[in-house]
Amino acid sequence: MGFAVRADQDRGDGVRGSRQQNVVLLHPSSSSKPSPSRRRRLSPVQQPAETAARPAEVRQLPTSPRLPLGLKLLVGVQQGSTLLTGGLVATALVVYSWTVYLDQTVARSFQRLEHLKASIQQVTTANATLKNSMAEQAESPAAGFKPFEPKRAIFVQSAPPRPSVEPDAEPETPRPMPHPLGY
Amino acid sequence: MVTQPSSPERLRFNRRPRHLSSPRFRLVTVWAFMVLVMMGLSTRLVRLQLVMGDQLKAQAQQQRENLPRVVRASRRPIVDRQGNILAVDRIVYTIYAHPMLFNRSREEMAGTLGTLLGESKDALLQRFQEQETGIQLAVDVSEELTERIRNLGLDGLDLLPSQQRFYPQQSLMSQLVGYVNLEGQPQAGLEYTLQEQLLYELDETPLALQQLPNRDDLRLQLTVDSRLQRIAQRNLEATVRQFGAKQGALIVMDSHNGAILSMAVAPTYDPNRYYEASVEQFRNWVVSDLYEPGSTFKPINVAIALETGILSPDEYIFDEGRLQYDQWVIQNVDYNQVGGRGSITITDIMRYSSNVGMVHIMERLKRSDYYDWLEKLGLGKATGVELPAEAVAQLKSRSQFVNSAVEAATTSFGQGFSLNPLQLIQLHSSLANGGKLVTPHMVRGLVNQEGELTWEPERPPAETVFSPETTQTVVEMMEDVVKSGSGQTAQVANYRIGGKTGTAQKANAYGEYGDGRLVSFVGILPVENPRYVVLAVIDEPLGEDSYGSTVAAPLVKSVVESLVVMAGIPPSTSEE
Repeated sequence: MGFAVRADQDRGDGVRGSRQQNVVLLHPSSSSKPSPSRRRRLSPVQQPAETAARPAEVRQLPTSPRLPLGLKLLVGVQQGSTLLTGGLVATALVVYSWTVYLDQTVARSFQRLEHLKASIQQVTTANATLKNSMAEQAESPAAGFKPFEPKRAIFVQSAPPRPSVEPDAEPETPRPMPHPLGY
Repeated sequence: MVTQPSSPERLRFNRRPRHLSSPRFRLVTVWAFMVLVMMGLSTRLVRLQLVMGDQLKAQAQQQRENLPRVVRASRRPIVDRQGNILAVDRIVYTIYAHPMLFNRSREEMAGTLGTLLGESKDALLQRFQEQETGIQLAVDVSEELTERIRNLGLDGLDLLPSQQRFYPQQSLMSQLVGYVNLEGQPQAGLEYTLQEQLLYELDETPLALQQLPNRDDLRLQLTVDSRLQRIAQRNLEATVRQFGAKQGALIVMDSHNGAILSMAVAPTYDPNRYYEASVEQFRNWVVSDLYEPGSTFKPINVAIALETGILSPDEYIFDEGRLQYDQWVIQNVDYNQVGGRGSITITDIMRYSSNVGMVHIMERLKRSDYYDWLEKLGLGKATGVELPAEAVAQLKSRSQFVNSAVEAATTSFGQGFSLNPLQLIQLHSSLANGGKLVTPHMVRGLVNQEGELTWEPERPPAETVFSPETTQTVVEMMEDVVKSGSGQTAQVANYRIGGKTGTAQKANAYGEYGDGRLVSFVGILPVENPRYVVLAVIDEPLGEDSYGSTVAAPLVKSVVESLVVMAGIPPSTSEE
């Protein structure tokens, strides 16, 4: 307890000399800055009595010291640049990983594309080859196919274009049923 | 106070474990460790990215490029009218075996590969014993089969890819499409003339993307119909075989725009195995050979005469059957049997293919005007078809033509000058379409996947040479040729077809007319609304009875029967 009060006094001393009267003077006869070793030697009986005697001495702690404007500015700059650096580092990491990912994706897609192209070619050629062989098979008389002949063809004349019929906007009202249809 | 240790050594010893377990110390340790790890990672990252970056990038690129060592496709596919593939790029593999590198026994390898490649195990085994390395096992192996072999994980096999142009229709279209040789150079046909349009434009793309030539998805579409071509080719081949002819051609053209629907040529070859064909076969003689058209040119001459007004359709011409020009004798084919026919109509001149009658008609036209007309019809100029090595028609020089009566006389029945079969069908198209000289063509253009044209060959506008009245008159005269004249063998029941036979003597190597003849038939249909022109030319058919009417006309009939069904031309008459 004594230590805390002491410290209080120290700080108060540094700020304002006019409040000297509020300071607890443990040893008024000795020097204004007693050594900690001396404080330890205080008798435990004495202390509570002293504090109880002066309750008004508990007072508001001083507000934080006002820093000079330049320093404040520097602190602000430091905080801002820290934030900025963090952000930049994060962005750089994201961008970097994205480029790596992109490379990977390109490689993978490239392989898939190669595969698909191969499939397209295979399917195209197989389809064309099949068509050709089917046509060749169909040509042989054994296949039983007949060549085109007008005798066996039906020519249908295309009908004249019909005018488009507008569907009725309103559906007819259902006629009342004369008899029930079923039970 | 009593238990407090007195010795300083003991104090230090005792305080250490307390220090280690303090949260502050642990926190610092973990923090330091993490900082170290992060520094290590950063160093590695910097090293990978900055020091080794370029090298690694190059390595990755190389790996990507090494996948297929050949470009998958470098030329656009060619498709027909319906979109059937006529030519397409593909990858084929050549398989080499190196028995010294096998990781399995040779018997096992021979067995596995034998079943896949369709060869006997013993034959393969024997080949493995003969040589230690570099045995060519198979060529032109499909990609699919190669993939299966690759997945077996066999050692000692070399799978070498190569790009190849594949023609699924085999010999059907080879005279039109041409072929690309094993070095990738186009050698004939449209592959040769349209190589600029067929080649992919490999523009300035980054190295890694260079293997994406298929981006544009364009295809070269032809006007040819595969189905009709197949029918025409088979019938032509049968006729050529039947008459032991040297060569033959059968062309179907849409006269409205000059689009060729089919061009069958015999002999032909398989472009997939072009190296087995003889050099002679690579020449499409429809465009690169000239022949004297003979009587098939008579309708053109009649049209000229009608157009110039020197002749009216209902006139009678005197046909004495035989004419003498100095030392030259001109007579009708049937002069020895029939003699002179006397006064006959123009239709009869066509029907009986009277040479003398034609001479008398064309005599009325001033020879210089006649020559002007021949030039106006494009004789002496290329037709402009997309096929390579087109031979240009040969006319006599103007002075020779104008000064010699016999030149004009022979020209009036289609001899004494020569043109290629394609030009003849072009001239007959002008009769079918009302007098316009359209450019024969077989390329529609480059189309995309939706079938929209993105490129079209430029063609000169069709020049009008005859009036529609003239052409309709001539076509109706030609109808009589088929109805009751030399072209009766081309009749198709219920259809009105105009036609003209031609049997021309062939000039031999010495410039004299020899025994060889060239028979032809040209048909126009339907007469009531002429649109399609069909020309059959058979070169040097054997046998005494080979004429335009016996060889070429039945051939035209066989194609017309299919053509009317495919084109949906209804019968003109419904009797029978």
